[in-house]
Amino acid sequence: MVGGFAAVAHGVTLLTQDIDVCCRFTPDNLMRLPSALSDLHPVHRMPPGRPPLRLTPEAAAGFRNLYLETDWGQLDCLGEILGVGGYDEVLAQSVEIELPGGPCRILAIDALVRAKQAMGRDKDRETILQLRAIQERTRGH
Amino acid sequence: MFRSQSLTPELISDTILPMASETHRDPSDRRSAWAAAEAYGCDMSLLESNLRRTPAERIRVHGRGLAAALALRTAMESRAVGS
Repeated sequence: MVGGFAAVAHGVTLLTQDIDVCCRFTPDNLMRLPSALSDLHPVHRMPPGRPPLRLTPEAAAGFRNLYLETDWGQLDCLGEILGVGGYDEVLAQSVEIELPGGPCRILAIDALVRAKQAMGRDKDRETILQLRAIQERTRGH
Repeated sequence: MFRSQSLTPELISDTILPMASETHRDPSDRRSAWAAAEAYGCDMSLLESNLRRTPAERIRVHGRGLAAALALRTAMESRAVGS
């Protein structure tokens, strides 16, 4: 898990609606997504008409990111995180947390700050300030 | 006692320009990150409370806040349609 929900898990107090996850964008891996999400009726939220998520190996090979809407809200599946790198780099810079549904890996706070800074968006300014304050507090500075 | 110096290009580039750029540095750079967030307007008591929770508890509290915000939005949209 990366993005705003990872920031929340680290302690940021701001509300966020969409869940961003980083996935390995190989066709084999992406082909597991429709069945994993089938109960949540996922659709592509960017194209007009919002077609249901139905992947073929050929189509899956062409995706770099997937922007989905599900019954539970927005889910963005990202193949690369700006400022951090691809799935392997993200995995290497992640930490495991325990959630009621089981263990979950979230982007580590240093990498999350880098990712938010790399995006250069005004809306992330408060998130970055809070993350830096959390870094400082948890390191006992 | 200070000796007077003539204004040479080296003096400008090595001494005066760095001093000038020093005066333009954002003062928040020298603050602690906690103080910078507070000065920006972040509610640090909320952050303190959150840091006492586990990650799972933070996500649960966030979920409650988000559900309340979405319920308010739905109520306002219903009101707008009804008016």
